[in-house]
Amino acid sequence: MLDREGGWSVSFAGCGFLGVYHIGAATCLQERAPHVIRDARRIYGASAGALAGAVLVGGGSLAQACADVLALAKEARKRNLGPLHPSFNVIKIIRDGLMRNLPENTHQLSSGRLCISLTRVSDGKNALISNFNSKEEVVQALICSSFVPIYCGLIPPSFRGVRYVDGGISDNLPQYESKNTITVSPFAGECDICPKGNSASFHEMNVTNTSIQFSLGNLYRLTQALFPPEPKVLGEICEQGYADALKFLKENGILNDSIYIHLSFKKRNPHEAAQHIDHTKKKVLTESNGVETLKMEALSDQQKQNPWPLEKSIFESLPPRLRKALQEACKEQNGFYAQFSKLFPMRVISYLMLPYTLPVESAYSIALRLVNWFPDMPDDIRWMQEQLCQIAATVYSQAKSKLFCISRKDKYTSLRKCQTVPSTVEFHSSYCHLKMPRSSADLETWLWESSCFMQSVMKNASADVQEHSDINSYPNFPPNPDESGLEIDFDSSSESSFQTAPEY
Amino acid sequence: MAGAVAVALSLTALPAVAATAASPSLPAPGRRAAAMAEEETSSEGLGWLFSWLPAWCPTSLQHLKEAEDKMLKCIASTYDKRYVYLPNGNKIWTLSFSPELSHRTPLVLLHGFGGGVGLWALNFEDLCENRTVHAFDLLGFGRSSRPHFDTDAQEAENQFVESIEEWRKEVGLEKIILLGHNLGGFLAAAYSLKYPSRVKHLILVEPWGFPERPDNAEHERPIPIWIKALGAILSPFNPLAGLRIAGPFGLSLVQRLRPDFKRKYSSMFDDNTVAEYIYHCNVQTPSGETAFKNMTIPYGWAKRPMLQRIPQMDQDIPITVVYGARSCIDGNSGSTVQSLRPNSYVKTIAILGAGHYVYADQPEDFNQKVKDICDSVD
Repeated sequence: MLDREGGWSVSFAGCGFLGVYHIGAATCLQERAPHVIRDARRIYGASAGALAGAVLVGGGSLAQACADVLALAKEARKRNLGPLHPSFNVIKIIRDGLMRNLPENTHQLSSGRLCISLTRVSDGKNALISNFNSKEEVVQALICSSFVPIYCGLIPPSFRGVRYVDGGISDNLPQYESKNTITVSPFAGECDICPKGNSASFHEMNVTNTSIQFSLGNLYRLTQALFPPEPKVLGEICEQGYADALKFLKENGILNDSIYIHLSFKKRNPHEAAQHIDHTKKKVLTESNGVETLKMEALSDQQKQNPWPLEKSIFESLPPRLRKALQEACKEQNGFYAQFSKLFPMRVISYLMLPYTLPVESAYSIALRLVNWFPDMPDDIRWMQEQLCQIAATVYSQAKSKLFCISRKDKYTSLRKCQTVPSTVEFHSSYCHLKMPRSSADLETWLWESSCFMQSVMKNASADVQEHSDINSYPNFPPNPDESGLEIDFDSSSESSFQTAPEY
Repeated sequence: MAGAVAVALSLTALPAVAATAASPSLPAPGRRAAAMAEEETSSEGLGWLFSWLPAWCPTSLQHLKEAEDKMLKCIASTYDKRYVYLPNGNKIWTLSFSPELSHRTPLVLLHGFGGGVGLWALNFEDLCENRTVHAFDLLGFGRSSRPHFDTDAQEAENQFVESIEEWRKEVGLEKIILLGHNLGGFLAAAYSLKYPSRVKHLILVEPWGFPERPDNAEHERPIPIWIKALGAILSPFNPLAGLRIAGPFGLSLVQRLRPDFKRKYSSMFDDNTVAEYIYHCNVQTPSGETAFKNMTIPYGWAKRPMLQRIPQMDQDIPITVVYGARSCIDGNSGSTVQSLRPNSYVKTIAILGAGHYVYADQPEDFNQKVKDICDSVD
């Protein structure tokens, strides 16, 4: 699988909250086969995939990232409207989390290695950014890549003066087509590391390079991408990522267990590293001596802490810090208020109160956002002005060309009236099939191409002025335009002249 | 319910039904005479009654023919194309490459569900270098006849297998190397079970329908009830019914949902040729598609899984399983087949960077591997 000469890349698909899958998969790659990441030529990513890639390459802690995502999901679920509640500021939370998690030299670590997929607002084209001058630039590029329009806000963020939005809109899985790319996607489909669904269906769709199998499981996953499920479910997705990556490593024979201990020395926090070694030793000890009791004890300890319904074997193999982060996040709130607000009548009341509480909360959060917006305000306002100008200019030019058209039409009809010559409208088209003159195939093409049809009518009208001698050469006027639903927008004065023209 | 839907949908392509219904009435000698020539279909019979109605789906056999011609126009090597008429009146659209190399065992390609001969466009030229290559549209797919299949899974499978056997007789092949992709792989295996003496080597490319549906359906993460309900509502429909319901918007639906096909064939076409071909292949009367649906149980599993029957296959038939490393179809089938046939030759080949459409994703690798397999035969 891993071609030494050509090198390989790793690509993470964009997937919203399912990004925890990437964290699970990345943890597995980092712990079990660190050379896969270390020696990879590039790490590509879009949206949540870019976040995972940045943490992986840029020296952040994956366990911390996992905790951040779960905290974000909890925050999103806190209110009645979920992530659509105005007080849920996803961009701010992501930015704060990244600033905390990524080290100061992250731009040096990730320059040339991390490729972030972005969608340019001006033309909708994809851009891959891979060099960064500061930590702020890395974070800003990640924010741009994660910015789902409308869901995250209305004004797209800018990176080096250019406005970008979510990379998933143009290319959700960069370098997908390359043979030497290890693709990671939380949707069951055609990827190297992805969940294998419980469906044997080979029907799939392809959304900006991400292949998504048609299955109920994937439909569920799609709904979870922007509307996060409970932390427990996210934890399971994380585990799934770990398990799938492990399966991939095993199948391709790149599993490397001896690195496990090396890696733990590299951890930045000495206290944690010590714990880590301790755990590793413990594991080795239990496995080599066959003494099961220690393991069982640890397991039962965990179960007492928080019962975990999923596969124990995988959960066992999760690195301890990630496991801890998952458990922390899944812990139920035990306070009196938390218990109280979960009661059914309380929830009903909170929903009923929504029309009253929402305006107040909205006003508050909008005020907060305004305050946060102040530094960027001049830029954003300038951008909005530009956009407005552009729109106005487009409308103006369209209107102008329409008016111009009408004046040309008048000229044309007056000419037709005195000459009563059949119109010799040339009509180039792929949909004038002789075999099926009345098919609804034309419906859609006409919807799309009616403007172009008008242009061609106009063009030929002007040609008609010069040479209306060759009457018989173009007999293929669109068959029965009124029957197929296309209304040609001639004004009333031209209608009379139409009637004088012979039928075809 | 499923039947009603199928009838409702087949109404949309009534002229095509009329054409297929008309052909069996042809006298046998006339059929033989016409067999060598490429025949244009004419819509006779009841077609006139409905032909004035605007068709909701803008398709016809003529469209399919044009789309296929576009698919095949980049192929430099010369080839025969013709209908092969079966004794029961069905006709099978067949392409034959390098017919002069018939001294070596010919390779026969069976396409997958919803496909046709055109999808092998990237493979023909390489594969026909050393031997004759035949590719045909399976009964009920592409430009072949679209007869009514039995609703019983076993009977439908038998109809497919018999059509392959009759096709072989008509073309006059003694022994063949049989290569099948997806549904074609399943049918190739079924054919080899029934007519083992005809198959010199069986190549299964991403075969569908091998493993059994796992029992542990509850083992997966629980799925909300509304999604399950949606699945239950959709399951009686044909797999591609949505395409026909979409009518004139179907083509752009194919382009939107499967932009990857354009990329797969980008070395040949930079327009929407492939999407058009796939669209016209599948939007006609669902015949093979309905048969396929009757052979499956939700979601996508085979009613009569091949792995249960593979131990009964003749031990002398060597099998090669080719799969794409990224595909959703599990490559484990290969190793399972191996364990089920301990005394026979079974080999599994994974093609890196390829998904389900191995032959289009990595055509060079695929062609090389298949040529190697064929050269190992003779």
